[in-house]
Formats: sequence, structure tokens, C-alpha cells
Amino acid sequence: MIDSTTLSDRNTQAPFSLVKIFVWIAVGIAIGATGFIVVHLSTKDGNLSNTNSVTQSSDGESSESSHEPGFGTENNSGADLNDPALDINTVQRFKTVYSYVESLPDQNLIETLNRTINENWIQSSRVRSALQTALLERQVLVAPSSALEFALAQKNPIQSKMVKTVFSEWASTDLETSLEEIANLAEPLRFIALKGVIEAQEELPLSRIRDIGRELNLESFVVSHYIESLTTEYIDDPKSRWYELIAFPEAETDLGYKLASRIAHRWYQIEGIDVLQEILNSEAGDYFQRESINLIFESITREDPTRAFQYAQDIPQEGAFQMFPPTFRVVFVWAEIDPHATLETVKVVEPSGMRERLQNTAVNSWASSNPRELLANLETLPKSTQMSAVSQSFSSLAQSSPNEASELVLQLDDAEMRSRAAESLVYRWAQDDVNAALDWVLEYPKTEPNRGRLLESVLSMMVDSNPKRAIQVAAQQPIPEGWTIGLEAQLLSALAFRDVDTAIELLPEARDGETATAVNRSIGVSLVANGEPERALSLALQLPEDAKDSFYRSISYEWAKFDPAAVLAALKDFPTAEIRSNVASELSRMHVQNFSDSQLETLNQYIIEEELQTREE
Amino acid sequence: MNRQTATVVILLVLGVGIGTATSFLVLTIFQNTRTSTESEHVIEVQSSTDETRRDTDPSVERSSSSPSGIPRSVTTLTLSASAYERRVEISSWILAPDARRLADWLQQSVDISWEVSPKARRDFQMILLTKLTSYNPNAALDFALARGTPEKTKFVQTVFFEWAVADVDAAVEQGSNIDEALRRFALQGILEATDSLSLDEHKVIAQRLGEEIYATTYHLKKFLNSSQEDPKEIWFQAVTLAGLNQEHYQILTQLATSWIESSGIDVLEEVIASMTNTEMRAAVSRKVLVEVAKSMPDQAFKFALTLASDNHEYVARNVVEVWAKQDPHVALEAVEVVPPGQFRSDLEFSAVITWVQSDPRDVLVQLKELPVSTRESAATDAIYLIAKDAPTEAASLVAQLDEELQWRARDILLESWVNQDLEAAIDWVENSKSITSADRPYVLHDLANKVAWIDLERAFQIARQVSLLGESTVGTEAMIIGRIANSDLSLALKLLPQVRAGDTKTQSYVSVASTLIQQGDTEDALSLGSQLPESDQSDFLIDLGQRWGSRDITSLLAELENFPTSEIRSKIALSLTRMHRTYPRFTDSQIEKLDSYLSSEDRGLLENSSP
Repeated sequence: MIDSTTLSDRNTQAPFSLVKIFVWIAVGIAIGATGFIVVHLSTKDGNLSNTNSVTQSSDGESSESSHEPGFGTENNSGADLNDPALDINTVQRFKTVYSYVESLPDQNLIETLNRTINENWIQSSRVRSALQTALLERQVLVAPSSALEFALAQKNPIQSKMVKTVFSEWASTDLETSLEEIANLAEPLRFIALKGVIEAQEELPLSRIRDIGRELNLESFVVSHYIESLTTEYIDDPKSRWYELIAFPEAETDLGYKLASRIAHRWYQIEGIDVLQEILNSEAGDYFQRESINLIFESITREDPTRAFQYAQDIPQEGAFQMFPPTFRVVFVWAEIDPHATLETVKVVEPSGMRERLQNTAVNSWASSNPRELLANLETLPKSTQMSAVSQSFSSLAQSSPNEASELVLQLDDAEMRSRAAESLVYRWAQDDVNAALDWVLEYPKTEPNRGRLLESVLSMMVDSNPKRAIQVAAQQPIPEGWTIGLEAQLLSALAFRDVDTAIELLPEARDGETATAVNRSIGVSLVANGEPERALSLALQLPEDAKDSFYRSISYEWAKFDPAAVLAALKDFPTAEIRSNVASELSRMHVQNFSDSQLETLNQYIIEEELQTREE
Repeated sequence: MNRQTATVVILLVLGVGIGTATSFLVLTIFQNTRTSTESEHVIEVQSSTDETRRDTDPSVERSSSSPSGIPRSVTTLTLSASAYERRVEISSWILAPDARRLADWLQQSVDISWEVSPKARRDFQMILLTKLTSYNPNAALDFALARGTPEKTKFVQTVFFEWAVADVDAAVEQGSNIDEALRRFALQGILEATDSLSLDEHKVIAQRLGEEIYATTYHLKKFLNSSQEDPKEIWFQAVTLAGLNQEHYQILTQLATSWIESSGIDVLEEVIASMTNTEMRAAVSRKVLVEVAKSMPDQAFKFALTLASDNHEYVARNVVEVWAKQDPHVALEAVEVVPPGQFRSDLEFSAVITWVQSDPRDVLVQLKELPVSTRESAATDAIYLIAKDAPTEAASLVAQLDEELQWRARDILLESWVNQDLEAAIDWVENSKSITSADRPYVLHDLANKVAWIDLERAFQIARQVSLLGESTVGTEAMIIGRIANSDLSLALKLLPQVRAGDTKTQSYVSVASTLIQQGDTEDALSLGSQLPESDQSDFLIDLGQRWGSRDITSLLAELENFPTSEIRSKIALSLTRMHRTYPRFTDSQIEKLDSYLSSEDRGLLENSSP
């Protein structure tokens, strides 16, 4: 009899069969595999350490980024839109707004837009604006006409912005229909809508853009806005674009030439120096060629000025470059970087007007960029450029440091340079601070031959802003040798032309004698030109006898331009026969085309016999 | 635990280990296989938007929403043409990337091979840039500054907006360091970011960027964006703030125009009276009336006439120009209310010139109906405009003008024609029956002058055939030789022998010699005259000396001894001294030196000619 315990012992102690071993292992495998898959699936979505996925940032926003971007689940009510953080966090605002809009049913879009107009819903104007944009964009995709209707129902300034948004989106998805709709808009909304279209369709060829403009009778506007907004950095075929642009008459504007030059520059960056020759051989207009080639040369100069200079020399001096070959641009830019090297290089050009012009260009560039350095190196400059160097340097300094410039003027030894410097300084200084400029000129040594000219220049510039001071100072200046009238006469004449009443007020400041006579004449002429001949005639009554003849002749001459019949009628009341004769004689000679034959006969009746004989002789 | 149990446990553990390891290996292999065949840009595919929720307008085509995911490589990303769809897509992953990845993507986004529309690319860049600024504003700014026009300015503005939101001081500091041309845009961004600050606070910021006035401009612009419910109130607030600045005037004009649109033109008096500064009042009233003239020209004109002083004439002219674009006849008629004088003439002129701009041919037909003082300008401007495209037609129209108008018109025509078709223009001048034989030499003279800008040698050939004009003894080619000498001395020297004899030749030689002197070749200059007949050599030297001295008295005085005779030196000194008396430019010592060369005879002449 077998013992059960022995049996069970035997059973527990017996080795496993292979089958059992495999079975248990298989069970283990099944458990292991199943467990792995379960764990894997449950952690898949949040797995951030997987090398194929994007590395999360470690800042505060990462917590936001780890939550699955749902589409509207927590944003359906729009409550989040009033989160104060959205007002300053642009990206979060962007995300929240677009998520919210995406969560809305189509039929709720207009209603939501209407809600945005009620400012009580969305506190932040930035959020509100972003939301309106997103809603409108989506509405355009759903039903563009109602999007437009909504936009048009608003008042400015948001109306314009909304209209542009609508058409920008509309044109992106259905250009033709959007264009048909623009035709129904009145100005200025038509312009605004078109801007939206052009900016959305920048990749269209210019010919298509022009056709769009033509259909709406806004060709120039469309082409010019296109030119203004076109990005050149990503043009993959700048050569074709350049050729397209230069063929457009509407592109022949400053903006168009500049755009062409940027495209050409891009072309050069891709294809290299051969582009220059192709541009030269093209049918492009002079301005297109010049701007394009000059910009390319500017770029080459900044990289390798010597090479740029050599290339520029090879460009024939004809056509677009007849007057200003690209060498000038090269020299100008080079001189900003290294004026000494530039001047040294220009020396190799054959002595000629061209070489001198290039030297002047280098010097002018140097004067603009570093006038002090230029003045310190004046002696090293080619002699023919020194005067220009002085003028330009002092003009530059006058803008930034007029007081410093004023001291430097008197340090120049050469008298002519000193004159030139003073004139350049004063002319520029007076535009910014005429009183300071005048104060300096009044202190300027009286021995300097151009002092009078300087004074004249600055007082002329002062006469509009401070006529009284200008006239008073002028009246104190001695009358130059060989002249008979004072400087104040010239100033008062100019003033009378612009403001005759002030000129009359300041008349007593003029010196007696010929100066006052000249001023009275100018005032009289201005009064007549202003349509006030009666005032001119009243003025005449106050004049000394010896001043009347020239006065009446002057005002009559002016008067006859506008109203010959009135002059003729007034002539009989002129004070003396001699005056009447002189006036009539002058009018019948100088204004014959303004008078009819019978009027000329009447004029002749006033002419004294003696005068008639003199004329016949 | 008994042995069997232990064995079972061991076997189970072994099985679990094998199962786990095997599953891991299989999954890894499977994933690698899948990612090599799947679209590369999708790493995590999230459920797309529920398309059934959208009702698509059948008339509007939309690209289907692409599965949104975080892009690994930007250039393989396809962005929708629709701004909305594009932004929805970007918004789904924009919060994920860190600074490094953003900077990397931005650099990838400038890849020209990326097939995306410019607008989409810009949108993408703008959003990424906005985010990058919050991490690394300097990197963002570098990206913005590396772009071209016109994006650069918009990107700069965006960067500084975001930067200022986070750290206004740092933004202002950096803003003051960027290129002057871009500071305005940086400032705009900063001001927008700090919109709640007061004007004074904004001025402090703006001053640091060297654009103090812009702070006020910014606040004024806000009025344009505000509600239009009370334009009067807005006007009075704005006019208090505005400075003497063109941009401010433009904003004030818009505000005033809005007020007028809502309340009628009568408010214009209040608008004008509220501006105490003369310059502002003049500028704004002009702009406002020009705007009003587009819809109410007669009222705008009447108002312009009543404006007190300032620049009412200029304003009225501008208004008339706007009116004349709409109806030049009515505009000209309206001008007649102004009394005859310069003002009325100016108004007539403005109306007529505007008319010419819009219909030059019509104006030429009605020339005789125009006010007399405007006819010449009307004719010449009309010819100019027609000649730009149709010079031959313009030539026939010139021939139909009254004789006194033909000169100027012809001049204008030729100016344009020689640049379009040189030979045709020359042929017309030489052969047209509309040019009388008496006038032809003068016209050829003018033509030679114009051709000299294009072809110097051709100009010289034309000039040679021109007979002496009037009482002049100097032929046209002398003037041309002078111009040639300035730009191509060797050509001038080559052509000199072809110049006709007499004063023409002498003056030509003087011009060339002057240029030689400017280049420092004094000896060659002085000896050039020896090629002239002996009887002309003195005149040559005297004229040369005078030209030289008027340009560079110092060097002339240094070389005056080299002039061959004392008589010549005296004549030069006489001429220069006379010139100085009319136009003082020499120093006393220079005058003294000149005086020392005067012969007693010439000194006498000088004294006799003094007043």
C-alpha cells in the first residue's frame, strides 16, 4: 500500500515535465506581454521622454502645454476669454481665442460677433479684437456674404479693419467671388478691401494684380500697393519677377524702382555677378537699370570695395549711366567705410572731369559721415575738392553741432575757405535756429568780405518768423559801396509779397530816401496784386513828390496784368501830366497785348508830344 | 513555499520577463517601421476637428483641415491658405515648443524651398516670433532685424510689444540701441504694450528712443480708433494735445472731417477757431477743406475765401484743384467771384493746370477760352504730357499753336523727344515746315544743348551747323565744347580743330584751357592758346585769366606772372577788380595784389567806371 503522504511528498518532490515548464513559461509570457501592453497604452499620451516627440519646455507654460489641447471643451461658455492674463499674453490669447471659435457651431458665429460689439462681454480690447478677427475669418469660410454684411454694418474705425479681414480671408479661398463683391463697394472701402486681397495674394504675378486693378478701375492703386507690400526675401525666381516688374509702366515710380532694385539684389545673391550684364542688356528703363545695378554695387562694395570699383569701371558710360555711372555709388559707399583708400583708388582714373567728380563724391560722402575727420585731413585732399569738402563738412556740422562749427570756421587760414565754410554753416544753421545764426553773423569779423552776404542770407530766412528784428537789423547795416538802397528794402519787398500788412507796419523802419521809395513801390505793387489797387493809390498820396513817378509806373504795370480797363479809368486821376504820360507810354509798350486798339488809342492821348517823338526816334 | 511552488513562481517570472522584453522589442520595431512610412511631420496625431459640425457653404471651397500635430521639420509643413485654418492648426501646438525649437523653426522658416504662400509664412513667423520673444527677446530681435522690407518693421514692432509686456525697461533700453530708422516701430510696440500709461509716462519712454513727439502721436491716433459718438468732444481733446507736426495735422484732419460728416460744414468755423497756433490752423484747415471739397466743392471754396489771413490763398487754390478734377469749367466760373488780382490769377492757374493733367488734348482745343494768363502754361504742360507718349502728335499740335506760344511748347516737346528718339527729334527740327527759316537756327541751338546730355559728339555736330545767332559772334559749338571739356577732355581736344574760326574758336579754347587748369595742367592750359591765330591769343589769355580768377583767385595770383605781357595781366586784374566791386569776394590783400598789376590806363578806366 502506498502511503498518501509519501505519494504527495513524492508528487511535490517530482521534477516538472518539460510540458509543464513550457506551459508555466507561456503563462508568464502572456502575463508579461499583456501587462506591458496595458501599461504602454495607458501612458502613451503623456509620454514626454520618447525621443521622437517634442521636448517640453521647462517653464511655467509647460504645464499648459502638457494638457491636451481640446477644442472648446472648457471654452464653450467663453468665460476664459475674460481671463486677465489674455490681455498681456499674446500667444495664450491666440490659442484661447482660436480654440473657442473652433468650438462654436456655425450658426452661432454671427451671434457671437454681435456679442463682441457689446463691450460688456469681453473686457480686454485686445481679446475682443482677436476674437472678432477669428470669428470673421471663420464666418467667411462658412458664409462670406454674411461676414461682409456684418463688417459693413459696423462703424469706423472697426469697419475698415473688418472689411479688410473679410476680404483677405475670402480672397485666400475664393479670389474670383471676392473680387466680384469688391466691385459693389464704394470708396474708400473698395481700397481697403483691395488691400486685403493684394496682401493675401502676394504670390500672384503682377500681370494678374494689374488685371484685378483694371477691372475695378483702380489699376495704379493696386499696382502701387502691391509694390509697397511685396516681400522680396523669399522670391524663388527673382529674375522672372524682375523682368515682369520692369515691363509695367505703372511700376515706374520711386517705390517701383526700389522694389526692382531689391529683387535684382536677390537675383544677384542667387546668380552672381553675371546679373549685372544681363540687367544692362535688358530693355529695362533707365531708372530701373540704374537703381538695380546701383544696389547690387552697393552690396558688392560692402563686401569687397576694390572688386566693386573694378567692375563698376567696366560698365559703359551710356544710357542709364551717361551722367552717373555706378562708380559713383561705389565710391560714395566706399568712402563711408574707408575714405582714404577710396581717394587713393580714384587717383588711378585718368585725369578728367570724371576723376574730379569721383573725388568730389568721395569727399562729399566723407563730409556727411565724418566731417571732423575730413576737416582734419583737408590738406591731403585733391586741391580741386577742398572747397567742396569745406562746404559739405560745415553743412553737416551745422546740423549736429553748429556752435562747434562756428568756432572752426574762424580757425581756417584760407580766406576763401573761410568764406565758403561760413556760408555753408549759416545757411544750414539758420534753418534750425535763425536767431542763433544771426547772433553769430553779427559777431562775424567786419573785415571778412562775405559778411554782407551772410547777413543778407540769414535775414532773408528770418523775415517770415521775426520780420521786425530782421528789418531793424537790416536797417542798421551800412549801404554797400555802389549801392543806393539799404538791405531792408530787399527784405521788405519780399515780405510785402507774402504779408503786405506787416510790411506796411514795418515801413517806418526803412531808411528815408531811395530805400523808402523802393519799399513803397514794392508795397504798392503787392497791394495791386492782392486786388487792392485803391489802397495802393492811397499810399501814393503820402509819398514825397520825387517818389511818385516810379511808384505810379510800377503799380500801373502790375495792375494792367489783371485789370487793364481799371488802370485806364484810374489814369486820369494820376497827379501830374508827366506821370500820366510816363505811365501811358510804358503801358502801351510793355502791355500792348492786354489792351484793345481803342484802349491803346486812349493811352496814346496821355502821352506828351516830346515823349512820342522820343519813341519814334 | 515548497519546491514546486517555487518552481512555478520562477517559471512565471521568467515568462513575464520574456513576455515583457519581447513585447518591448516588437513595439519598438513596429514603431520604427511605422514612422518611416508615415508622414514625417506628424508625430502625435491628435483627433482632428469635428468636420461634421461645420456646414460648408458650397460656394466656398476650403481645404480640409490637416491633422494637427507638432511639426518636426517646418519646411515639410503645409499651411492652409485660409488664415483661419492655418491659425487653428498653429494654435494646437504653439504652446509646446521651447526657445531652442522656436529659434530653430524660425530659421527653417526662411528656407526658400518651403512651399508656402508669403502670407502664410509671415503669419507663421509672426506667431513663433511672438512666442520666442517671451523666452529670448534678443534672439527674436535678431531674427526680426535680419528680415527685409517690409516685414522687418512689423516684426520689430511685434518683438518690442512682447518684450515690453514682460520687461518694459529692458525693451526701452534695447530699443534705444537699434537703428534709428527702426526706432519708431520699436516704440510703437512698446507704447501699445504699455497702453494704460499716461501721455507723460509715454513721453519719458519715447524720449529715451529719441522720438518724444511720437508719444503724443500715439495718443492722438487712439482718438481715431475710439468711438465716433462724440466727435466734437474728441476734437477738443485732440487739439489740446496736438503739436506742430505733420502727422498730428493729418490726425486732426481726420477727426475734423468726421465731425463735419456728422454735424455739417458749419462746425468748420469752430474747428478753425479752436486752433490757436497759426501754423497748425493753416495746415489743418487746408487739409480739411480739401477733404470737404471732394464732396462739397462749392461750399469748401466759399469757406476758403472767408478764412482770415493765414494761408487762405493757398487753401483756396488747393480746393479749386480738387474741384477742377471734377469739373474744370464750373471751377473756373466760380473763381470769377474773386476780384481781379494775383489771387484770382493763381486760382485760375490752379484750375487750368489741374484740367491739363486730366485732359491735355481737351485743353489745347479750348485754349482760346482760357484766361489769358494761363494759356502759356496750359499749352506747354499739355504738350509735355502728350509728348511723353506721342511726340509726333505733340509736334503737330505745337505747329497749330499761336506763334507766341510755339517757342516754349517746342522747347518742352524737344526736351522729351530727344530722350525718346534722338534722330527723329533732330530730323524734325532740321526739316519741319512748321519751323520758319528765321527761327530754325535758334531752335537748333536749343536742340544742341539738349542733345549734349545724351551724345556730346552729336551735339557738337549739330552746333557746328548753327549760324551765328543775332549779334553774337560766338557760335553754338563753343558752349558745347565747354560742356564736353568738363566730362571728356580728350574728346574736347579732339574736336577743337573743327570749331569755326573767330570768337567761337577763342572761347572754345578758353573753355578747354580752364578745364586743364582745374586739373593742375597750367602749363598746357596757357600754351593751348598758341594754336590760335596770333591776333586772338591775347583775348584768349585775358578771358582765361578772368575765368580762372573768378574760380580760384589764390592760384591765379600765384601764376599771374606767367602770363606773357603786362598788358594782359593788367586786363585780367581790371576785369577781376570790377567783378569784385559788383560781387565782393576777394580779401583786401588780394585786391591789393590785383591792383599792383593795373596799368595806369586801366586804373583810370576803373576809377571812371566807379559810381
